[in-house]
Amino acid sequence: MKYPPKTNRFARRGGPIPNDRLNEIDPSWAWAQFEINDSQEWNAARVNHLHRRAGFGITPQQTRQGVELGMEKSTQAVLEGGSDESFARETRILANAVGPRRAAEANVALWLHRMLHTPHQLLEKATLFWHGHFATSAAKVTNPKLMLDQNELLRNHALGKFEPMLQEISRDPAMLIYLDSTTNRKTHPNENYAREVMELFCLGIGNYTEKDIQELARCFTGWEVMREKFRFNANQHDTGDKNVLGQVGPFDGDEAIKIILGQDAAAEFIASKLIRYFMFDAIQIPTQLVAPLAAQLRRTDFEIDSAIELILRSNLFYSDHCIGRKIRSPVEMAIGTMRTLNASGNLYELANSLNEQGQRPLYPPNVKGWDGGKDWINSSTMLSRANLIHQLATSDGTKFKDGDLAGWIEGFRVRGTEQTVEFLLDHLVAVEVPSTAKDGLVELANSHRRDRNRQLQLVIAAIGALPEFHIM
Amino acid sequence: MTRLTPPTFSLTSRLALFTITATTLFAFTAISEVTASPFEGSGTAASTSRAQDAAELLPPSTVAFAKVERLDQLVDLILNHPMREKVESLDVVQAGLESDEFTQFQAGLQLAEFRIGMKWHEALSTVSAGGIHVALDAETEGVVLLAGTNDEAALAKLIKDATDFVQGLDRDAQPFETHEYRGYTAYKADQAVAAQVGPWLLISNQPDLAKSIVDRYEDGGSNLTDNERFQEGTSQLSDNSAGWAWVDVAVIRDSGMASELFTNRSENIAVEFLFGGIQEALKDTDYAAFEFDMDESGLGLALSTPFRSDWIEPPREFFFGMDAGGVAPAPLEPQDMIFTASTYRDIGSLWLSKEDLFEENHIAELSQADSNLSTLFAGVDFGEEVLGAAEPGFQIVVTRQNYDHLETPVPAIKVPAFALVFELKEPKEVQRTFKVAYQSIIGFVNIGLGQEGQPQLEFNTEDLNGSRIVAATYFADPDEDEGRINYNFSPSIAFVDDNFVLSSTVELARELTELIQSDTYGEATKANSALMLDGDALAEILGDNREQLIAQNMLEDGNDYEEAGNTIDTLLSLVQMFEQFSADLAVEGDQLKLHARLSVDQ
Repeated sequence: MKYPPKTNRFARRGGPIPNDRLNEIDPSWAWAQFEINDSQEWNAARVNHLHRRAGFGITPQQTRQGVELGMEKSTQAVLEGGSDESFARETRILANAVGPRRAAEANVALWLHRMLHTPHQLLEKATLFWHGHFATSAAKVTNPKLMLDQNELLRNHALGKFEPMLQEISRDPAMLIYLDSTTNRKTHPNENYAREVMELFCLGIGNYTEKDIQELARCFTGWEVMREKFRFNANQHDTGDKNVLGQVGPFDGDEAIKIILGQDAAAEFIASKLIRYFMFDAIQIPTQLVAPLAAQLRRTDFEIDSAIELILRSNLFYSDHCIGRKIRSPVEMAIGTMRTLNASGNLYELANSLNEQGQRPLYPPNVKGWDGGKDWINSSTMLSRANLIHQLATSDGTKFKDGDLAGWIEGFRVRGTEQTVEFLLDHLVAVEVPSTAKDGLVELANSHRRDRNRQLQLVIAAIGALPEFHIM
Repeated sequence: MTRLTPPTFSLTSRLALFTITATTLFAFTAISEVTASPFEGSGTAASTSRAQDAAELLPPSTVAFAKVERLDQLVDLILNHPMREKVESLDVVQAGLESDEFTQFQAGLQLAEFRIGMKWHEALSTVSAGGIHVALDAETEGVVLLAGTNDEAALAKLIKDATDFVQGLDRDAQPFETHEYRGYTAYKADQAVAAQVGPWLLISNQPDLAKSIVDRYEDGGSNLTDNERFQEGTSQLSDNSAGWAWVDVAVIRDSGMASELFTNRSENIAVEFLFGGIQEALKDTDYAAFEFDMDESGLGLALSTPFRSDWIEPPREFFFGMDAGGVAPAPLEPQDMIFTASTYRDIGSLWLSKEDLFEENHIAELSQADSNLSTLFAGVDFGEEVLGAAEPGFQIVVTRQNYDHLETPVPAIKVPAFALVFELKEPKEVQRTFKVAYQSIIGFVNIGLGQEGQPQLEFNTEDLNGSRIVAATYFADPDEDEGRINYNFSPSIAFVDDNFVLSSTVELARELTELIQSDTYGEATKANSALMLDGDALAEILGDNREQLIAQNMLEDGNDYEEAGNTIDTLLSLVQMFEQFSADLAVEGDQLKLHARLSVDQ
């Protein structure tokens, strides 16, 4: 069978969904399970969509396997993640080597290596989500080991329950140093961390009062960082009654966290963030659309993996409201392209390039993390994004597991320039590109027929400059 | 089957290819035509004035000249060296040998060998008796290559074969321009020319230079051998060097070329420390002569240049000492030594002359450093009383560490131990100052470590055969299992007789103390500076950090563990092939001489 039987991309979408269209969505339909039938087949486009959103992308070979596997098994495989002894061994070796170096840039490279090679893509994607949520920057936390420890903490809880993660992050030295909360005495409660717990981590603005922040700060008194380690200083803990969100008692930090997570707003806040990260860019999401996912969180005691499972199996996830409605973050774009091409390279240089594009892991811009969405795109970042893809495709420093790009495409029976362009678009771009752009790519491919590898390098570099490449 | 596709060439690249091809085919042809009569073939003119040496063909304005005397022996040595087998067994070399590019190269080579009926290296070995010469002429700003043969007919055939071969690569392109000059045919592309002039293959980027060589070949006349500096420089050469070079420093200096080499002031204290005296000598010296030799045990290099102690102006006396009589201290060679360097330098004098030695913008920085360091050294003047307390002469020693004794976890990254050793003028008077400064520095370090929650350093004092060692060692949390890089260090000082030792570890401080105390220590070298790098020890320290290097390679080069492991093992194998590198700089009579030797595993 020749490649391709037909175009494997979705119709072109773009930009955030207008609010009025979001309001029109029926929540019961949206969160019902997506069913495969005659009108909606399980094809390469949907396999790639699942893996781009739940991970960073897959090779054409894996796409083919995903189609053969079917939706149920593919989704289950994404949720459970794979195990790979060689990856585990390499990661152990890298961590043992990078840790003692105590170099922040090595930590970034180590994480990029994980993203690139982990068989449990969802775990790493979720870790990146929580890193943006509990934003902490190595620019301020100058001890790289603390950042490495926090990264491991987030990974350990990324698909677990939210409450223990929040309790641990409240004791995390990197977080407390970043939020200037290394001391919190009963005579002068430090409100920094309490404010972020309410505003950025759990509830969102409008769901608490200034008094609640002051009372929560009292619950965290005695929570200190001494010599870069967390300690509870009982002498400095305020043992008196506090009134947190209407509940009164001699609460400590852990008890206060339970009260916060008991608020309706907490589940809705986390659910909204998960929808924005895994489904589509939107500034506001209608409450009725968020409600079923929030209910799922409450029902499961804030189980993150089951919330994500609901997302990945939903009608909404495979609908026009989701596909092509998200701008790829720099990390998603770079790691995704490398994974699709089965490539690797200098991860220190990649980190520098991601910095130019506004998303250097371990260096979020502020306590709010990365805003994402349209903020990823401006004239400067677009140039840098296109340059990165050009560099990845054409640099001698890029290592292809299949030897080179010609080796990568070999075995798919891709013949002729038009098929070549279609194949590349299918695996690198989520949505259809205009015919004029496609014609330009075919012309470019035709002008380099004699050198297959060079032809592929240049067409991939050109695809990286298409607007459609940057949405998913 | 591998298919060869003829590439296309520009005129310039074609001449370059011609040059390469000609040099290679020259060897083949010379052998295959050994029975041909001299001066047969095109471009050979009857002549009465015939230079026997390339230098006799070169203009007196030549400023640099290099000659490889016995290319045949060098090629044989390289091809038959025991290291070749080891190099070829490396994975990376094996991969190269199995690559398509190498297969294509071999196919082309076999074609050429078939034409002459002989292996290329045999041919090259046989015909390189005339030597290869390269010269730079100041007047024409031209470079010329002269290759000599004892078979002119073979050379003529070679040139014909080479031009036919290169032009055959692209039949649509324009052929070389040919020009005749005094009966000789020159092939020209852009400004570059190639021609046969009697037994010489001449290639130059300046036609005027090429013509002057033809004129000198035909008519004789003044030439490079008339230059007294050339005569003097070549008289310094030994009889058995494999190659040598001569540079007319006086002309280069007077012409204003490379002016930064001849300045009075430096921009960098390290550059001044290492090369200041040599720079000063270059301001007066006339020439520099360089020679090298190779044998199975390695490569030797020597550089000599005229030298007089009164050329060295007072600010730079710190480098050679009074009457250029300063010699480096006796080198210390502890166990597992990786590197040692010993040098004569009056560092106190250098520091106090900083206003005369450095550019204006650096003087302010050095003055600020002077002030800060004086504070650290309990308020005493850093230049006069600290640096000035040291006798001229320093040595640095680097060794591989043994971690068996450590009470802390073994560090994951293994850093070599290193130490600085120098003699004190008045040991009893300055011991306290040095000790206070050491304690202050360790105190500052401890504050910084404490702020970061890292293990602290603890002072210990010990007596070793009457010498005092003060060490600061880490004490770790008993539950800690992290191999921090810090645990490579136990910064120490030792006062041994008149010597001061500043060491990164107490173990090295102890070992150096015992070496200095031993009866055999003390006789200074005859050199101004000497250094030695031990290849085996270097390979061992790299091997100690193999996992680290693999990890770094994975993150920097995108290799997986296995690929990265192979790359690092290749690096280690290469380093292991080098036994030792040594070099010394010495004033010998009226010459300043630099000797260097790279010894390889046989």
